[in-house]
Amino acid sequence: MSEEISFEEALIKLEEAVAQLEQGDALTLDESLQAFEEGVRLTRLCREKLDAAELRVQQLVEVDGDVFEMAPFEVEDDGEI
Amino acid sequence: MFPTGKIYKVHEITQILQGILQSEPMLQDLWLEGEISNLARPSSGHVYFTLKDNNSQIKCAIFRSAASRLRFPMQNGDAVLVNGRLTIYDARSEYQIIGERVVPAGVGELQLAFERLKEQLAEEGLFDPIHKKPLPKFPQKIGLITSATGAAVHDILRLLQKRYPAVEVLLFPTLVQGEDAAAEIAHAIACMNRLPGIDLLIVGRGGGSIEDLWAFNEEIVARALFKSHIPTVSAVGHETDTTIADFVADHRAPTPSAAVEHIVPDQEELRQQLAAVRYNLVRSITGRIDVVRTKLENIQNRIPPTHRIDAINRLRQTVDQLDDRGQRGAAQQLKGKQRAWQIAAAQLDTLSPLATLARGYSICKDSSGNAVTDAAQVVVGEEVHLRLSRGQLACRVLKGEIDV
Repeated sequence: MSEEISFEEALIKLEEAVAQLEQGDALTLDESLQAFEEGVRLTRLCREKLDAAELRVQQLVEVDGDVFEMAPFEVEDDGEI
Repeated sequence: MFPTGKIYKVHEITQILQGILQSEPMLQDLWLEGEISNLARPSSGHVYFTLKDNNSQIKCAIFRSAASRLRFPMQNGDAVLVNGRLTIYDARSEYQIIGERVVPAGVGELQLAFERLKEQLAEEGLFDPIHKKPLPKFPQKIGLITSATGAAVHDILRLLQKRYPAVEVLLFPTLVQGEDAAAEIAHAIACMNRLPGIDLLIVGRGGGSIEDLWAFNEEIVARALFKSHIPTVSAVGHETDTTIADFVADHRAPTPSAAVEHIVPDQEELRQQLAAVRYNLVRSITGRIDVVRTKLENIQNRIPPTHRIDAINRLRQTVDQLDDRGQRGAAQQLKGKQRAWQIAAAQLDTLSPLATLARGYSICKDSSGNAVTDAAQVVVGEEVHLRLSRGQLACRVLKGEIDV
């Protein structure tokens, strides 16, 4: 499940789902179940985003004035960032 | 014996001398070194003292507004540098210094330059909290301005990897010490501001001497930081090093590692929070289902068994749908409930009113379908319906006897 929303957006939606669900009687059972499903889906999405996250590092190389190229950047050391 | 030229009043002499002093720029902005004595701080807020060296002394006055800006706690005996202008105190025809700044003597040239720039930029408002931009809670693309070979880049990237790797880092390698460093850093800040999508800038380097860190005390860097529309974090040296950049940046991190700790959340904490949220979700839905079940049971006690089966089937359908949508967790939650309902339904069947009806009882309802349990509910002549074990009867009330 790779969805193009940011971690922050997912967390905000998750908070909304929890808040909705906590309204209790204001929702029908079906609406509550939808909020619950959405919440479960979003917690999973957030966790997947954390699991899949890999630090991406690039180095800017100035070509000319405001023109830049990106180059991969490796930290000089024991090879482990 | 008698004067031949102009006769002056005492204050006129003072005025003439005052004019001479004021026409000499050097005397209007000078730094004087000496030792403080006769320090007085009357309630007016002005500060008075005498500045002495081995042979001479001069009186100094610092007026309240300047005195309030003094950061250095002066004491008698302190060797200091006083910056101010030479004037004449006309009541006594004594010349004196009106001081603007006082710094401890013995500080190096760099320290002095630091103090001067700090004061100047503070006056211009570059450090004002009102200009501090809030940092994003979850930065996605971090601009990093530091040396590509220093300790800072290593510390920052390694800690990001561990703490919150869900970010992209754009490194703009610059010199971080030496003559060209300040210009490169300022240029990098400006360039980063023209690139799209960067939501946070870290500017810094590892520890070093005051000379090593000097680039971060240069005006050009301070002004570039101030102009940045991207929120900035300064991360220079060790905890005890303070640079001008620290005052201008939106956030001052004591070290490069501390910068990472401040700008990104810790993924372990996030995972714990997510687990807690998930727990709350399950608890909420379980509570919600319990409420519905209680309602359902109340309704079940009031509706005919055929309708009851419909209600149970509808819930069963919901469970199946959840299963279809792959929401195993939710489905399992409901399956537990479903089993409870099935058991309840079976129990209800054995207690069903149908069995009671078979024994010769009937259910009486008025024209709106309400069960008639009290003779006062109907009037004479009203039509009522009787549900028998098999079939129904429409009846008219002939007479009512109300129990009192």
